[in-house]
Amino acid sequence: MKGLLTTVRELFRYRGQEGQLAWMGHRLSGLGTVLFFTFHVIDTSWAFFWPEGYVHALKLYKHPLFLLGEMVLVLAVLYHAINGLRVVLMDFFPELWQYQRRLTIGGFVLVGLLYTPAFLIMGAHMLQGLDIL
Amino acid sequence: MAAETGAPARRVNINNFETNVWRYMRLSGLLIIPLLLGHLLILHLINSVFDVNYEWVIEYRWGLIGWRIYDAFLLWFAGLHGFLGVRCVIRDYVHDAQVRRVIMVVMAMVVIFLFLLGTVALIGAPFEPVEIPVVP
Repeated sequence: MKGLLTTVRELFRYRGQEGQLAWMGHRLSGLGTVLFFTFHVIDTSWAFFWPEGYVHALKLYKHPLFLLGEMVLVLAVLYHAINGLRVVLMDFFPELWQYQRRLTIGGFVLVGLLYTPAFLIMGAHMLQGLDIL
Repeated sequence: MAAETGAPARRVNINNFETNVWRYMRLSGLLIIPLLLGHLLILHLINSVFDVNYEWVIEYRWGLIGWRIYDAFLLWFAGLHGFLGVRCVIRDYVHDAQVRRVIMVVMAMVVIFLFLLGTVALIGAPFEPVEIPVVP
């Protein structure tokens, strides 16, 4: 547990810059996605085991709070995918290490570029679905 | 030459558990990226949660065996990738061997439970929606 406290405290103190940020983001997005995965497998399995429950779960997913959660989830998955791809590439091709900083920041930019249209589309779905638009 | 580049003179094949976990995380990651981005694209961008309902899932998604296989791949590869990732985080922060062992055993049971639940549902789900009572 001491290690956990150190990680949280040093997040603001230790100047690991973009590398530390990338690592922290990878960890948080991964853990968040696993948490959602657990619930998602259970509720999706209800389509077979308990259709009434599945209908209830899908109603819950249409709640505004879950729609916001969906937006966060897509960002988490997208970030984890792109940052993970960078880690894989750098591990398999060590000659890329000299571009580590540029690749990390480039990854952040790519996430932003890909997430913007996704965010707008999900926002439009949300406004339409909730009868606001 | 080897001395100049710092490359090892002989490739050593390491096949212990941790190295295989390391390999699995990278290789499964490469597989999961297109699978999961495709999943998000179809269900969250092209369609949305407002299009998804019980009949739709049974008829249009699980009605096609290919989507069941797709979902099974996601379940197994992403599930194992995710929980091996949690294992990595736990090994970073929990240093008490006893506590760590308990967490690992519980987590292994959760993984087995989820894999069974998901796999049985993917195999067993009907191809025609069953009549369900109207939910108010």
